Amino acid sequence: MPLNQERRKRGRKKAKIEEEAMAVDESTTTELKRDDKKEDGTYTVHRVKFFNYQPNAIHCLAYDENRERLAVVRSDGSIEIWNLKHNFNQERIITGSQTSKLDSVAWVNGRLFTTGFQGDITEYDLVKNTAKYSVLYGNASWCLAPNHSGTLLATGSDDGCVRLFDLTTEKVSYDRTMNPQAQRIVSLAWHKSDETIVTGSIDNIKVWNVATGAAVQRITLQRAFKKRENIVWCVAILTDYTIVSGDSTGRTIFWDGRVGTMLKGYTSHRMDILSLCVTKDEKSVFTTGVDPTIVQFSLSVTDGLDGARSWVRSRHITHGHTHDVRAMVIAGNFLVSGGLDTNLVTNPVDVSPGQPQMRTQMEQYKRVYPPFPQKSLIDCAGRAKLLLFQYPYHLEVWKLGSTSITSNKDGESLPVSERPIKILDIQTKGVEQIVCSSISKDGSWIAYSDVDKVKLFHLSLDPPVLQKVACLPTQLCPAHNLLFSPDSSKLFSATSSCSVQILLLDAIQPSLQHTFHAMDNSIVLLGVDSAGKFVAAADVEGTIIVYNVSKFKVHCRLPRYDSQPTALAFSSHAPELFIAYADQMLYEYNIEQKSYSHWSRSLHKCKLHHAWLRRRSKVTRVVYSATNPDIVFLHDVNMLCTIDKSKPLPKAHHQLFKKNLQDFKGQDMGVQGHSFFTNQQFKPLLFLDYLDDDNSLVMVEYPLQRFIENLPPTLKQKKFGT
Amino acid sequence: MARIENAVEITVCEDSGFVAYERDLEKDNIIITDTKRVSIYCLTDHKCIQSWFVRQNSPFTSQAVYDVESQSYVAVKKNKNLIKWFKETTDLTKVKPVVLSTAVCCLLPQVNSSTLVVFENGAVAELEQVLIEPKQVHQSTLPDVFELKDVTVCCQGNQIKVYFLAQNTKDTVWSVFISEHGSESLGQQIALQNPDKDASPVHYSFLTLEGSVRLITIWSNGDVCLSVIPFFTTEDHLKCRPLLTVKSHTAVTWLGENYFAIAGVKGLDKNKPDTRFLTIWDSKFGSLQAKRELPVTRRDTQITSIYATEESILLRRDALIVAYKFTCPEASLASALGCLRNQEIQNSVTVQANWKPHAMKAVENITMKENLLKEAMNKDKCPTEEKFACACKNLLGHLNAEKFPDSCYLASLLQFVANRCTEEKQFWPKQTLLEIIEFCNISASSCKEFLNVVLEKEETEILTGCLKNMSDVPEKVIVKTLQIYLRNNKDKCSVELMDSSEEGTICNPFSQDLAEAVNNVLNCTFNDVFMLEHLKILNLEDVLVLVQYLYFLISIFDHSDEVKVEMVIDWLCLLLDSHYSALVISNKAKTLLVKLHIAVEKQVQFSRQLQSLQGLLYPVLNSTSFTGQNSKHNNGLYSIEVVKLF
Repeated sequence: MPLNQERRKRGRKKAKIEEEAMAVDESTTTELKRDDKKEDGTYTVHRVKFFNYQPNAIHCLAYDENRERLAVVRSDGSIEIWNLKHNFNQERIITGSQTSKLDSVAWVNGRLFTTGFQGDITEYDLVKNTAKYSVLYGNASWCLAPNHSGTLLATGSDDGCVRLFDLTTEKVSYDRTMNPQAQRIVSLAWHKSDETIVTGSIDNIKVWNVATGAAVQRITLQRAFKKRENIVWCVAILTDYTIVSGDSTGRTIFWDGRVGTMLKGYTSHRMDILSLCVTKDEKSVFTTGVDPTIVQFSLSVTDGLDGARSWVRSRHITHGHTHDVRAMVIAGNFLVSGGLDTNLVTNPVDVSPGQPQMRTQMEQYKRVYPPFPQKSLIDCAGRAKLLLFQYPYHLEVWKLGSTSITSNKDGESLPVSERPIKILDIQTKGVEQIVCSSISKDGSWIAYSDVDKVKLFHLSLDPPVLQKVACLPTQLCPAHNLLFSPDSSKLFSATSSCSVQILLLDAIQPSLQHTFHAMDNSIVLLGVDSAGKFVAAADVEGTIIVYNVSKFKVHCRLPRYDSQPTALAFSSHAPELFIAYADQMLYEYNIEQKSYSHWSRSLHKCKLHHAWLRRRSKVTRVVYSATNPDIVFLHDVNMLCTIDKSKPLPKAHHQLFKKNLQDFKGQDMGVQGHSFFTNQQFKPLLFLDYLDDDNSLVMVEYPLQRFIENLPPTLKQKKFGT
Repeated sequence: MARIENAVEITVCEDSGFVAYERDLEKDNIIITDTKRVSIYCLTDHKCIQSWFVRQNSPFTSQAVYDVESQSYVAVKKNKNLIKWFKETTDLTKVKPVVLSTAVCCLLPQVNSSTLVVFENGAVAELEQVLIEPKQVHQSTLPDVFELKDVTVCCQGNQIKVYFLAQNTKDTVWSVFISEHGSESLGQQIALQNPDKDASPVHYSFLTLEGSVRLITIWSNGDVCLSVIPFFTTEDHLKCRPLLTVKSHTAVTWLGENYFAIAGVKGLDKNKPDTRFLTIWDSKFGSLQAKRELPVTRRDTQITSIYATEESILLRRDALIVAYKFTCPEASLASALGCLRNQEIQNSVTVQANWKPHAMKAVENITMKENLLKEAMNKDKCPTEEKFACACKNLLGHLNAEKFPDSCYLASLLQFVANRCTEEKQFWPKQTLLEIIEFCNISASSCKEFLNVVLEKEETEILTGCLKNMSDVPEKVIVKTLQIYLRNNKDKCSVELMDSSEEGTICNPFSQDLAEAVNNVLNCTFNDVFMLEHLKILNLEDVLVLVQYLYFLISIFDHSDEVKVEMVIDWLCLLLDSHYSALVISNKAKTLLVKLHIAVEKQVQFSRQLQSLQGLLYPVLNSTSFTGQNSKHNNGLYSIEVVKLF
């Protein structure tokens, strides 16, 4: 029989279940002696490196000085809000959609606006993490800038118009359009007086009178090649009407805006300058672009007598970027930049000339934040040995492999008797990205949520059937966090309206059991204890509430700590809740006694180790050992830390992190004398969890090699002798 | 590739007598000492920078050297008068010499330490020490009968060893003496092994490497030999490995680790018997790397000395000293051997590569097998087929079917049979031949004549054996065999063809035996370009029968064990291509071709379905396992490890 189109379509249906994949051979599962493991700290670790996460390039950046928030727009249309007050903590992610391609972002009095090639101005709800509304007017926009008093938003668009929008407390409304010009407007900046706008376009820069809407000055730029347009990618205007422009020939030019003459020009880059920023005191200008070097220009007094000043090239920053830098912004003392290499890089804005000061400044401000989200995209069904991978528009469920050999020898690689296999691929139907997802411990339930609604699936493993649960209660709100109870009977959802909802699971008619009173801000973390009796929810502001889910009431509120929590977990042996904060502090709270645990108090009495507090990456996950109540695993992107609470805390003279190979190969790690065992072998570590049945761990790493290979080619560096 | 540039004349010195060269402090400068004067030459500028003269009655007897430690020049006059002077010194006659007790052989400048003074009796002392105590008598480290010829110094760590090349004046035996610097005892003697009994070294050059010393010697019989003396050695004989042979009086010097230069090699051109060459050779393979013709002088002048700096070779021909700039790139196998292909170079110099050390060792039992083969091939010893069969069996019993040389014996045996049967018509040991052919994979190209004879005789059985067992049967033989098969069954075939075309059913046009034989032919490997040419000798009828058979094969599906479908398609293409116009015109062929077209269409449809099945299976493979994703990075994407976490 010929195979027709229809059959092929059927073969490619969104959720695929592979029958062979389900053939789980129970007999091959390894059985390790629990007691042995408990004593010597040796674990069988499933090292998973096939999570095919694709980091996205940074397109634009904006910094809100008053609230110390940084908005990072990535190429997939998602917006990350970073809190600089809390040690560069990634506070929330506003997920993108297939239709949104954002090109410019701006903060106005704590409100976030974006514009893009759709030509709309969108304001975002920073509690629900969604777009609030969009105003669509005119053509595709290249740039967006609010005036200094925060009353007007100006956009530069593809049709050559500067459009002004009125900012009211509720909405944005169209005001007027300035006189159109022939070429598209690529960049735009407001003068401090809010009376003048300067725009960068193709081959020219124009100065506009906001009141009349007419261009008062036109500066024509020289082309490097006769037939190649010179695009002014970025422009800024200082209080003294000095205009700074960066163009596609790699030239940074300082102009006198009043008369339209060039003051100073530098060929500072080998390729297009894509971004420039001016310090608050207007004494320094930074430019960068396709050539990923950041060049600083400083205003210096050239003649001591009459105080004549001129712009001089002062500093070259080559740290951090390998690819095109698309955006750069000054955030306090940090010069933050991002681009195609997806890393968020910070450098010091000011550098003191003295050697020791410079070194401390560099240590303090020179950082690279990798593009991995703070919230894990991976979940594990420990009992069923399944891994759930969350991608922007689909979910994958993998069955872990197994080995038939047991060993206690450190570093030994065991032969894999059964390879891991993908058993499920769930594609979303809409255009919105997945916000959160979860799989129950026994692997029978899978839930995910986008900005519109929650979806629930029932997965029976034998025989393999995936069933979508159609009749979800209408009151179930879209979620920021989803979590199944350990016995897989309930689904806890931290909704976008800041409340915790409990859904009683049923394959046919699940019911909403309870909705708790809403918290003050978005819930970022959710944790459930091993009995499924208590649920802890932490919001962005650091409020942590423990709910009693059997009595449907608030059990307790944790003492307020002035930092954002990044990870929390309940102990499976005692009624204790472990919390890690963005400032690297660790707390353990006894919810029965409603006080910090003894260990937590002793930890803060003798203070955390200085090396621990100096770390930049935040703890992303806390996991209690299933067998040993004293063992807690914490991990961030760069390290895995095992805390043995029965051991004394590290003193200042102890070495916390291994510095060289000798330390790594330390023969007997047990005799190190303190409770923090760090391991930097797994890098970058995205996820860690306990597999229930055989006392082994699963670790999901992201091979850096793949990350580098996925990046586009870099600007060719001319090297001597090549 | 090494290169020698044009000669540059450096200086003219005394017509005869002593001339020596030594490197100066500057890399490019060279100190040339003759009996009367010491001159410093700049090799890049080709000019003399400085000269010092001595009186006629006190000539220099050793080369002047630059002593790094005292930053002065040192030389020896009249064997025992050591003089030391600075660069600024203008008149050397005014410098007072230090008179030594023992005659000096030569001075050896050291890179980091004081210059070594080598006395004629083999004693070695540091210059500093000699200047302090000039009258000290140095103990001889060489037996008296030996005459010192050349000397070099090798260091390893703090240990310094001095190597002397010396000749026994009585029995002309050459030896290398190794003595440790500082010890006064007799040195370790290593006798040079002559490559030829009567030969003795004529020219020699030492090369000091880290941990070993190399000695290149040109012997009086023309052999150029290389010897390696390790730093620590207990041997009492030094092996001289002959690299090549040069038939003329020459001089030799090392040009670094991988090359050496020989001057005065005779040319091959008979019209110019006096032409001499300066040549550069690879020391590993003994291959010629570069050559330059030396100018012909009126007298048959000898090259009396050769010396090499890092960039130049200095030659002295009588009074004239000339410099040749040369370049020697990093040695590689390609450069060493590739150059040999350059016929021009190779032919212009008399050289015989010495393959003796490289020759393959003879296998012991080869002679026995050869004898057996000779016996089988002896007409007198095997007059009858039975005797021949007996001899062959005897031979086969000693041969190994897997080994290559053994199959060569059999090929020559087959050739012998081919020759013999043309002479003796009745001689045709068919059974023996079949046994031989089946015994091992004989190359068809090694017994062409035999195959021709078999074709002539139309021995189908042997032909089948050949096609089955021989690997490279020529296309011509394949086609002729096919022709023979078809001819033998012609009548039967045509009848069946007619029958089948009438009935319109698919049936095999060949009988079982013939089909087997034809399958045998179809399974032979061939080159389609050559095959196309030879297929043209088949007549249309044969082609039609064949196409009919191939149509039968393509129509049935279970031919996996007979002929592969790829082979069937190849043969169909070839047959149609070779007789295209005849087939198109022929009425007989029309129905067959139409049927074939339908069969092919069916196969195409089938392959399309396979393609769509593959398209369906591909994403499944891709999605269920990461092995399907991008195979480049699959290794290490998943592992189960035992890790000690605390």
